[in-house]
Amino acid sequence: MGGITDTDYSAGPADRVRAMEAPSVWDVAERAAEVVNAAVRARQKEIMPGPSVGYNEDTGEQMMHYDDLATGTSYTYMGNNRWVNNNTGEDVDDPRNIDPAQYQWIIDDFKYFHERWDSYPMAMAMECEAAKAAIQEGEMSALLTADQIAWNGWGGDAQRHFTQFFLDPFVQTAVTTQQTVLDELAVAMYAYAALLKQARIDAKLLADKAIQALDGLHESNPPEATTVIKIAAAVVGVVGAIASGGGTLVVTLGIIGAGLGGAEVIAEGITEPEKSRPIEGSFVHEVLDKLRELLQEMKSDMDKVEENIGKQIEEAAGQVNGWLTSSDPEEVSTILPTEPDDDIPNVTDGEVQPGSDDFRPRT
Amino acid sequence: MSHDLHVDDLTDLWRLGAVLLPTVAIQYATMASELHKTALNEGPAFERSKSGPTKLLTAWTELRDTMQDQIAVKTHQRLLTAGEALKQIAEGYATTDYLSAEDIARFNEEIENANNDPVFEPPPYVPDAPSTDDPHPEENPPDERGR
Repeated sequence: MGGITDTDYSAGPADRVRAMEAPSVWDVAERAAEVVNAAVRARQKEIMPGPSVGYNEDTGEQMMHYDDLATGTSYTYMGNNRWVNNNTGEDVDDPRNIDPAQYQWIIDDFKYFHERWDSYPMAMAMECEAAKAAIQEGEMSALLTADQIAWNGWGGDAQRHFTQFFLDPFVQTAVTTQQTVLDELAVAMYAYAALLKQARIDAKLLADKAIQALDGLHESNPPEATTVIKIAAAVVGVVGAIASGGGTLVVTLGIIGAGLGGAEVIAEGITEPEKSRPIEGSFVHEVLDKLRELLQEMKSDMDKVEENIGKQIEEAAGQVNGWLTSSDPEEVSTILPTEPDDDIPNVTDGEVQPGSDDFRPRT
Repeated sequence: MSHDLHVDDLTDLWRLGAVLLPTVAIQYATMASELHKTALNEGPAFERSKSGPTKLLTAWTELRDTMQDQIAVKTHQRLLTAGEALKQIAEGYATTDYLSAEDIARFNEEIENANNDPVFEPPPYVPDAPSTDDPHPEENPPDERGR
């Protein structure tokens, strides 16, 4: 069950959140180990003692007979803890000593769903929100109304260029655009955190149901073991809830923009964002084949959702880079305030007329 | 230029350049700093033992880097440059004979005594906005003696 302890979660601002998360991470790891134990138990049940076939001539020990119901192999006890595989003639150990190592893949496969902790992207999302809050509060409100300050007496090209090329585009558009992109970064991390969290929930349920199915093998009237995979649906729900609060955006980007029109974009390419799947089979290997298939289906959904979040972020980044690299200074000022001219003319010259290049849009 | 330039306009202009824009620049330093912190968590957030970091990490960090280096750091710098320009313009006017000697004296008195009036007090320190290349102080916490 090793693996999760090699994750370094000692640094950063969300230690307490991580401490709260640890039990659920361990939970999935432990359940995966319990699936292995259940598989061993169930395999032992599949190898049934048959009728005695006599006594060993040399040792006088009773010659036991086992039948493996799953493979159709029969074994005969040869004495001295040795058995013979009657199908191949091979000398083997006690067939009911099942080596758990053969099921190591279960632990390895489950690790994919618990090795990444959602507290890390949650911390990143909160830091993006703090970045946004930083440019929303304090003197920003004073700057937003600065163009109404009673400085009407200041005139000339410098004043006009300052308001037209710097202050107005900055307070009317760029600040809001910047905040929207910060929202986009935060939403992506909230969505990713929801993905990691739901993956753990789904993985734990799958492990529980696999244990139930394995323990029910060869029992009369075992309960039906059905698991639910809703990784994609859960993330769509989180994105939809966040995006619905963003209806007043000046610009819409990636996840937020798509979310406003339907957060389902996050589940694009996934036929059933939420689905019930039975874990069934008559023998251990059949149940485990089904388990492997469901683990693969979960991994596929998880990877797809992650890819879709990434696609939306790339789209948003494309839009931001488009503004930043535009040859039109007004386009640039959609997100970045104009660069003031470095060389401020001496406004005391002549008629106190500031130079016309002040606060020009830098080309 | 308007012929109605009053000393109050000049002090407002000076305050915008010397106080308000640098104060907002500090807020952009905070924005850059908060984004800078995210880098500390991105490794464990995305690392998978079998297949390494995910593609989402590349996309997300590229946008984060752009917001930190191209937006927060540059906006911070431009606010400071614009503030300095406005301050120079206001002080430039005050060296001319456009205003009366009495008004100029009042202007100079207000900005010289800025430290006594919060409204006119420039921020004592404007931190740099960290770029993505800067180290993370959180990675090297102070020792028990605070060093």
